[in-house]
Amino acid sequence: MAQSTLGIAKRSQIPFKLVTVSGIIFLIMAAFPLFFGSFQISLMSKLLLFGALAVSLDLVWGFTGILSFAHGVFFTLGGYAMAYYLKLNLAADGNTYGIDLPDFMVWNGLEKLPWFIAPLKYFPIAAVAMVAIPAIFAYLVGTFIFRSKVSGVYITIITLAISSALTTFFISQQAYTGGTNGITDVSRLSIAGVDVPLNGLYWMILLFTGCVLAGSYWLTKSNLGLILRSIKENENRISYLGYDVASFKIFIWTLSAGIAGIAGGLFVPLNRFISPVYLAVAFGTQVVIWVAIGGRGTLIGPIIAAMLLGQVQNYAERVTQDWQLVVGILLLVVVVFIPDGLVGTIAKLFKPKQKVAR
Amino acid sequence: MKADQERSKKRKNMFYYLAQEEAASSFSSIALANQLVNGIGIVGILLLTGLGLAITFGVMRIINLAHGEFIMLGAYVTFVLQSNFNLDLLLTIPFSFLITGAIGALVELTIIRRLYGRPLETLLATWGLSIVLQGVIKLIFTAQLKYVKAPPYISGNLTLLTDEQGSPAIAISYYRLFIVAIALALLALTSYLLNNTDLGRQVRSVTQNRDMSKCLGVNTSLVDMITFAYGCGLAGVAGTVISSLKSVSPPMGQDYLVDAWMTVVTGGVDKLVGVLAGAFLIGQSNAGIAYLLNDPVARVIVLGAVIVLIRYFPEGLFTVQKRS
Amino acid sequence: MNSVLSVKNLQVVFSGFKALKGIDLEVGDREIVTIIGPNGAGKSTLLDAIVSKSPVAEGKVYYQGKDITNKTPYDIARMGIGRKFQNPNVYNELTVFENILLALKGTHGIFASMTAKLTPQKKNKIIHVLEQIGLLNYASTPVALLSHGQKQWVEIGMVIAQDPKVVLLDEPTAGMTPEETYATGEIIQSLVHNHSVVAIEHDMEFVKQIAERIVVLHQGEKLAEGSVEEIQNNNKVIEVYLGREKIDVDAAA
Repeated sequence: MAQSTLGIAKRSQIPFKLVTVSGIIFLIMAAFPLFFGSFQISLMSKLLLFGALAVSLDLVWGFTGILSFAHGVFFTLGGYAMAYYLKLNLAADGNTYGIDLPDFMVWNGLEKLPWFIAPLKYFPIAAVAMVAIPAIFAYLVGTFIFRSKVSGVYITIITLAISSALTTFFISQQAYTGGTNGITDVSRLSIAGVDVPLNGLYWMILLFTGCVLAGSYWLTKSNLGLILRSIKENENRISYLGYDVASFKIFIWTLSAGIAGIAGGLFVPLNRFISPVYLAVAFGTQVVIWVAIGGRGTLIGPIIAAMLLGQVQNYAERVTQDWQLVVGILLLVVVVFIPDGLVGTIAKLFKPKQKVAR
Repeated sequence: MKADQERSKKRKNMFYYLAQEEAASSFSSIALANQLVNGIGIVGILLLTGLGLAITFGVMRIINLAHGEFIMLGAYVTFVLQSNFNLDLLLTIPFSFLITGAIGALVELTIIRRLYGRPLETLLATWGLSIVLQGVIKLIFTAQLKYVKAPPYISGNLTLLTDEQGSPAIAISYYRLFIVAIALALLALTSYLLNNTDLGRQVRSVTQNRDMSKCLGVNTSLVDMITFAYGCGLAGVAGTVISSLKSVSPPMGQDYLVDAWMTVVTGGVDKLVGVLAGAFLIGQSNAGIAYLLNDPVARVIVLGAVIVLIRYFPEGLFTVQKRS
Repeated sequence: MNSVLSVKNLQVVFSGFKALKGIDLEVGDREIVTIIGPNGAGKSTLLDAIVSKSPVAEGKVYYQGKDITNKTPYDIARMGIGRKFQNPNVYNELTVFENILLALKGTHGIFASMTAKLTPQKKNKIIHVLEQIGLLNYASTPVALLSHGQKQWVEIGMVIAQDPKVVLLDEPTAGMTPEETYATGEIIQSLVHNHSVVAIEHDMEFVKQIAERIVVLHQGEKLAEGSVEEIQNNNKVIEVYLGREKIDVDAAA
């Protein structure tokens, strides 16, 4: 029996075509700052981060079947970690009140930097916190909800509640979080006193998004990917084959939150502020829409959709107040009429139809 | 832009002083009692907003995240009728029931119907719908806050206890009592319709076994449409009744959505009475915690409690365990 | 008797309703035990309770002398109890090969599964299982495209790939043609060389083909136990089981 007829052999081969194509795209992207101005570079960096965020959601939703509206939360937690670092490293004279305390803390009557924020003054700690805070938060939440009978829609409702609760919480903790306005007017990114130029930041972000995409691809093609897809289709069955479903869910959930957190952390030096707007359900929905439109479980679809829609939104929001309406219509149309998303649908068109073998 | 910044700075200071004030106020059992009596008003609102969801989610198992927008639509129906024809709020109730019900029927026909048996997709689609409805209303009426007048004959407060100076210490407004009354009446009516009429029996048979009901000659698609429309109609009534409490605006449904969901999930979906229990639990604990701490913290704590509740009792507190 | 799986006074309760009212069951090494009984007798519930799908209210389940009552399903599976469900419970979106690969013994950890390679030994093992269930030519076919009977075989194949000590089969021949049923019987009989088997069955012909020992359940209780002849001549069984079937036939006629 020739192995090729089993469709088994190809599992272990390295996909040269894919590597070549993505390598070329990566090089083109790397050359981007050489041809465009700082506004475009900054925009493209943000779009790449949105892409990474979308991929992180695709891992849990597209592959594992956990629909989460909380990925905006993980993104923003990473963002706050970085924002504190950048805010605390404003030169004292750059600060409104000429002391080491950030302006919003002064307004709210704080006299001393709270102990849990103070360590974020140091870059290594901030860099670790930007991954660790969302990841630990996700791990705790994940352990709590996945080690139970709860699944499917209820998980999604819990993610909505988390997003809603944290938004309220961050707004109410004015003195520590800057309230509704968030942390604004942060400094540019500098590491150990050396300013990181915009191009450097861009390349860092490109590398990060590239790694996220490649890593996710590798992960989903491994046996782990097979297990995740099985959990998505029927999570009960697989536990009778000896798999601890909850630990797989917690793992991918935590990993994905960590990725989202880094994306959020890298986002702040570009955006120059972070606020509860990114915690709110509306932003979480945005991420869900990128993945839905791009195509669940395709990795590349969500990244493309995030970059395109992020771009469109950037212009649309200036032209019209009703961008949200367009987003709603898009979501509705995709869910009802093109459930596979754009990339998923295109892939189906090109794939030869499976014959029913009898 | 500058004015905006000024304003936000001012607001910050305001919050700051508010916080000071709250810290200074001391515990008083009479004030707490007053808060709990007014909690009954919250219970009424929760019951009213949760009832429609108890139909669409509890009975039909449709995850309807656009529920809040149906409440919002009901409020706008009242606003339009009141501002154009000067209609009394009570008289607008049938209109908002019929209009939101009709929109609900249309939604069931065009969207929900295609997604039966796929709860996550339904959730996403209704979320999209909620954004669309908000957007459309914003296009028509702008984002400006609108105000609706309560009927003048249901005004004033019912005073249960007065303090030494003779001013009311424990009091509840008649309008809140009216909300409770209407919520209870609708609960009774709905539960009668569901349990004691042919239509209600058909509704329950369809949700329990769709294929079998079809074989028995039940027009399942009609039943689905009517049930969903009824649930949306109830949301519309809730919107009308609530409209005069606060302002009417496109995003107003969002807050009620979360509350309504918490109510239904807490109460469990097996029996309609669960909604009452859920409304009571959430309404009173919210009122109590809000008094002891402050509003945002109360909200965070209640949301956290609901997450814990879903974790341990995904089917709600008042349900029956079934065989596999 | 040297039993691999032993169930003592097992009780399962659903909201006050007693689905199992104290069942005892012993399964010996490399033995086939067949469970029969009318609908609602508690047959599937018994298997559910053994693999911890339904919570055990009272009583104990021992596997190789160890108490496994209410342990997690994955622990029980890893210890060596495999389960085939009543309706083919397979992964429709995966290929036949992937279904078997998933079930294969020994790659249950997160990090192990990330780095796991498809070694020649594994591949051969899978091919061997596919040959056993007669689906080698369908290896790369998505399971969704298979017939009902073939899906049943895929699930039996998954259980074989798990290589458990005890195989629990819930109506392995449901929805199969007589030829398919017979082939399934042969697969099960070949299993007994290495495994103990507990099978729920309705098809009496099939029971006769595979059975060594039969256990009859009725309304959550064990009604009788013995060889095919003993059961066929047991008055109580004839009364509640065969008699009822007769009534059913009469009613249907």
